[in-house]
Amino acid sequence: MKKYVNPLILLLSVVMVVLAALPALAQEPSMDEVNHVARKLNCPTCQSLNLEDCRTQTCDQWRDQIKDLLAEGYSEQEVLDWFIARFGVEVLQEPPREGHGLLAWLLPIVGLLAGVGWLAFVLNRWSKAAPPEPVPIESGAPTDFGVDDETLRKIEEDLKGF
Amino acid sequence: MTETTTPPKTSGKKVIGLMLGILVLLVLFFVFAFGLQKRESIQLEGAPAPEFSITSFEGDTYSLASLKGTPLVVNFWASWCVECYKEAALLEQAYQDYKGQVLFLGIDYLDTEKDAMAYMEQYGVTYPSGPDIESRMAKDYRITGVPETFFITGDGRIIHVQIGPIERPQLYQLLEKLAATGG
Repeated sequence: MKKYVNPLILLLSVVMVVLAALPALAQEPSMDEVNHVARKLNCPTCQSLNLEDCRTQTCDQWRDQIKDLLAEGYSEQEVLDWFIARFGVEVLQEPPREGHGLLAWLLPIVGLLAGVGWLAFVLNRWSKAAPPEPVPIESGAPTDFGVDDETLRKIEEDLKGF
Repeated sequence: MTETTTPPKTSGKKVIGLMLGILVLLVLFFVFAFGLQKRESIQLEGAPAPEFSITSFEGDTYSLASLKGTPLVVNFWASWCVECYKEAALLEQAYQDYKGQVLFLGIDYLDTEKDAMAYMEQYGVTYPSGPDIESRMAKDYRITGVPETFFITGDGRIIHVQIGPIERPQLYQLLEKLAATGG
């Protein structure tokens, strides 16, 4: 019996170590998981780059922070909330669809609708506008040019020669 | 023979409408231009320091109101800031030299706590430092980057804004001035 004790203890120890390490191994987030959250955040020190694409030291540190939070069991939304609480709502790539952030989503639509409405109104008004009333001018009276009909007729005849 | 011509179209109402439209556009232009006007920290020199409240990494809270009478050196920094390394040891030395006369406060800007703590340990920073939550203080102090250092007298007036790392002679000269304003 004695000769089986040592291997048994060894086996049990290995199993216990593996079992103890399993949760840690399971919680270690992949780069894809980290980048999935990172692309929803802005690089804090450069313009128009998300955290996934940026290669500055700041962004490296922020991605590490995402990784740590995910490893601690934070959900994606909880990680985003952590960043908002720490750095402000400006860290988000997209403004939130609530509160003041909602204005960023609604204002372009409101502006577009207002523009289309205004254009429709103007086009409608133009199409319905009555043509200007003609003002009769008596024959023989001087025209706007100050030239009477007879002179105009002579000019037109002369022009035919050219 | 009868000919036709059209009456003039321009009416007084249209001219007034056009002028009103131009006026509205001009007002909007100036409002936007004012909004886009750059406000920088350097413009705060000589002005009262904006109020702040910051909690250090150790959990102590510091505010301008509670520190009335104490001259302050407020240094914005970050662990990812290469220029900040250059002045870290100098600031710590100056803090030790003027302990009890001038209070140094580090404001950790856009940084993670883990990296900030590692930076402080690496450079031996012992004066209180804390994260700038939502960058509120950075916005109020209009910083243009890091490092940036504000020298605030005991009565809460900014006497100098240092953009970029500071050199020893200038730092000690300013500290002498600050120390004289302590209550």
